This record gives sequence, structure tokens and C-alpha cells, in this order.
Amino acid sequence: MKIKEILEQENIVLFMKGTPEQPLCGYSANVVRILNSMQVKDYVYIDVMKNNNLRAAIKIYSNWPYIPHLYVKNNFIGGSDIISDLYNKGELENIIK
Amino acid sequence: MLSGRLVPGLVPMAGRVCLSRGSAGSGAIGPVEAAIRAKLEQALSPEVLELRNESGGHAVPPGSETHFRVAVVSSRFEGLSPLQRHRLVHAALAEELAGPVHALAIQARTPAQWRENSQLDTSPPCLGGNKKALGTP
Repeated sequence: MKIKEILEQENIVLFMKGTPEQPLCGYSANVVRILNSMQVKDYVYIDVMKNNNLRAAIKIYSNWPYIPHLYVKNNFIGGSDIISDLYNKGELENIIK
Repeated sequence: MLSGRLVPGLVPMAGRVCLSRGSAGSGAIGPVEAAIRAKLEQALSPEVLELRNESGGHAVPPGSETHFRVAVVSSRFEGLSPLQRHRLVHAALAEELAGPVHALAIQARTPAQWRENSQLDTSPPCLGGNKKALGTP
């Protein structure tokens, strides 16, 4: 499935390293932890470590040079720093709900 | 510090803070770190630039320059969203990000925001990356 199709079909998509149960990167784990603490259950994750082409492609698609990438309603929200910031300011809730 | 008359054309240096903690393990500043610093200074004329090589905390060899954390305070960020601010930093460091740098944690503040809160963020702990994915213990 192409990146574009996934993003058009799914509400919340997280491109990460590893899985939410076993993240392989602290930054990816950070975003998962934030989604968990907001009780967001209905998100789709994509483990970019499983596919080098995908890993390279999503960096170009998002115009963002490192993983993780969080999309909500087909909009790129940001990586770990930005998600943390939005969450700490209480703004992430409005974006996701 | 300059004393006497301000020489026309010289940019005052007073008030700028540049801190760097050195690279993973060796204590010296590597070429990538030096390049990042120089490029950000050129692109953003920051009031504060705190750059840290965090590669030592990740699953990479000693002396690596792959993971960095940067706090930048610049008036160039005024009116820009967080995404726009980070992309400004990315643009300045395009070469490094296409090359050796795998991760760059960014704190991008305007001078007013920095005065409100000058606390530096910290990075989450490494979880192994592809070393773990390959099954190495």
C-alpha cells in the first residue's frame, strides 16, 4: 500500500521505529507514550525498520529528515519534539480529537 | 568586548551565548558539530545556541556524530509555527541531515519565549535502534 493511500484512509498514522509494544528508538517511544497517555487507541503504526525503501520514502514524502512522523487526518503534525511540545501545552488533544 | 566608539559595520557580540558540550567520548568537537554550529549561526544569528552531541547515548561507535540536540533562540523564528521553525533549521543543515546526522532534537524559541522559560529539554533514552532489530543482545 502506498503512503498516500494509507494517509487518506486512516485517521491517525505514526511512522516509527519498531512497534508500540517494542519501540526501537527513544523518540518513537516518546510519541507512543504520549498517544497512550491520551488514550488514543485507534491509530495505525508503520515500522520503518522493516523496509528501507519506505524509511527513505517517508522522509521525502513528509519533508522531514528523521523518524518518527505523526499524521492526523492526512496532515503531517511533526516529530517527537513537536508532539511533546503540543502535548505539554494541551494543544495535541484538539488536533487529534 | 569592544570599548570606545562602535566601529560601523561590526555586529555587537555582547549578549550572545554559545555553548557546546563536545562529542561522544572524545571530549573534542568533531567536524560535523563544528559545521552544524557554523551553519546555524550563519542562518539564524541566534542569541543562544546550545548544541550537544548526544551520539554517546545511542547504539553507535564512540566518536560518532550522528545524534544531536540543539536549542536555538532567534528572532528569525518570530511568527513561524513549530514546523516552520524546525524546517528552517533543517534547511540550514541539509547536508548534515542527508549525511551523517540521523537525529536532531530541536528546541526553537523566540527571544521572548526564551526569557519566559530558559529550561533546556532533554532527550529520551535510546532503545537500541537497528542494533536491536538485528537481534544483537
